[in-house]
Amino acid sequence: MLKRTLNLMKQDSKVALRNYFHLVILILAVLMSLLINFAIPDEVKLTPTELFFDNTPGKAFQEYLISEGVDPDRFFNSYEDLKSAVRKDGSSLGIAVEGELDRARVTIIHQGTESEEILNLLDATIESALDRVRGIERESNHRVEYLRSKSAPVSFNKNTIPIIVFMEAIMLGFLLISVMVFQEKEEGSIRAYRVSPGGTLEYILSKAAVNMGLGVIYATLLVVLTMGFRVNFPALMVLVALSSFFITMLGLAVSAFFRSLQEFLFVGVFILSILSFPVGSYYSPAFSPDIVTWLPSYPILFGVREILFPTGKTGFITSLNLLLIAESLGMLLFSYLVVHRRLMREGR
Amino acid sequence: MLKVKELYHSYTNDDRYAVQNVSFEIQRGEIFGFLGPSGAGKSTVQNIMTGLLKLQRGDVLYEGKSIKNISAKFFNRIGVSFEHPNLYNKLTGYENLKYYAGLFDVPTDDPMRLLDMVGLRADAHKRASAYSKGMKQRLVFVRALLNRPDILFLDEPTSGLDPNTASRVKDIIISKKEEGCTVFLTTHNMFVADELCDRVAFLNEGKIVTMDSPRNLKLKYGDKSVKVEYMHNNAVNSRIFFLDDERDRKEFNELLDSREVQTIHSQEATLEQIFIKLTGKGLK
Repeated sequence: MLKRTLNLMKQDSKVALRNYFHLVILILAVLMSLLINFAIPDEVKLTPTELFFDNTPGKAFQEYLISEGVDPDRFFNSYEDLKSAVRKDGSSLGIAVEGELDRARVTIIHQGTESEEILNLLDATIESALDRVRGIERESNHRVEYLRSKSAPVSFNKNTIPIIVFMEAIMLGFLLISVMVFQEKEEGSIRAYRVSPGGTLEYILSKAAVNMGLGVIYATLLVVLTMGFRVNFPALMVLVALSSFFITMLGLAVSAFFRSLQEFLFVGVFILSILSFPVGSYYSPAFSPDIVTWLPSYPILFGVREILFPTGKTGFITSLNLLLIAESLGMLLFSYLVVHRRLMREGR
Repeated sequence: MLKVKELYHSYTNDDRYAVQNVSFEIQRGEIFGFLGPSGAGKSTVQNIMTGLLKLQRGDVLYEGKSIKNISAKFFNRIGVSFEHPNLYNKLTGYENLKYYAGLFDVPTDDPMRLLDMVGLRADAHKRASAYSKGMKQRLVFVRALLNRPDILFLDEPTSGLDPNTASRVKDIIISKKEEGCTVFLTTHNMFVADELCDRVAFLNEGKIVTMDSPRNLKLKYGDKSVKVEYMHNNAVNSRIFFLDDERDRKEFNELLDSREVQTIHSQEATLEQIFIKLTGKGLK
């Protein structure tokens, strides 16, 4: 069986190479690394930009904010200028402070799309800043405690790497296996395989191995080009390989139900979209309904992030790998049954 | 060696049978031809015999063992050539054979030797996608020989081949028979069947119409007649004599004595004529 599986892997690899799958992943990895390194900014401000007009005596509020690092260009000389600037920039808010500092009158000019939470937060922030200008120090009895040692902040562009590893390197197997299966169906070569001693398991394992290889190469290349060599590559490779195996098995089982790539594509894209839901939770951790966390792709995405940007969650990766092994075995069994019944036999 | 018993198959899982009550036996070293027009059920029977199609009713026995109980190792003993070439188009001819050879648990033939046998040595390293239909057909044919099979299933092995190559393929089939290989040949080409087969079965609308050696079929269904071409008044004339008829026999003998005979041909029926006689339709 091993000899036959290796023979099949050799053949599947040759076909993959001649389908230019290696070039596809090479070009994608380079393009994505260029995007991450040069096109996506390090920081992206997701809240509105505040613009100011300080009409207090001596402009003490303006001086304080500039000393705190606020860009001087965000200050205007009149209320009308401020209003006009807010009107021009749809992602901005205007804050006008007028009168004596002790009884300062604050006006917030907003676009009308900001949430109540943002405005309340802004209100509290302005009041706190004014207190500092006034020289009033309020006592605070809150303290901050960390579950584990504080990890270094991750820049916005680097934070997208786990998503690309997850969406491209891992999910790639889902589509590539279907391309392989439909090509064999179209050529009829699968019929010739059926009248050989080759079994269903070898057929599946060979294709899965080629896809795992492509996924691991893609992920490694992308991470090297964007993060260099200071990454736990063995852990990354194991996680990508296991995840890729699981996703490939899923793709194989689904594609066995369809006669052509065109028929499969709609359902394939639908399944990929569902598996991509955890990306929403990745950017907004508060968005994590059970239906999303139950998806097998959810822990995979956060597992990739944990390997690339460790936060010290000891045991998480090990338990994730064990979970993936169990899930992959289940999916292998399912794929085996589907492929055996639908691809290895006719007229059933 | 090989026994097919009361085989039925329905693609619609009802009583609309593509194949019904098909039974025959093939002896070791025999070339058995399955003759019939397109859609007669030839490929269905072959697909059931090779395990490609599920056995619904009846049985297929290899040396007394039902196909229902055979293991994957059985495929080490058979070779299947398909009517429609099914190859990895991205691989070369040689790579296609090398890969396929790697699937067997038994010693296999040298791919290059096999390619040479069908005149494909020079094109061994061209991708299968660049092969013509005839070249693909030859490649599929030699792929079936890779594992030195005991039983060969050949579906239209000479279809799309030029006469020289077809003759080479027929020679290989005969040499396989001489080596003791059993051949199940599916075709609608009566000349191929006549030339190669020890016995043929005519299949029409899923049923076997008749089964015997080509010679016996011709004797049974043909007329014993001869066509004579002779010179008369400086012109070539021809006449057919039915030798079972006493008057014709007498006139035939007189003609041989009195005229300058140029050619004499026996007029036995062709397999196609017999098929038409039995089914009312041609083999195409």
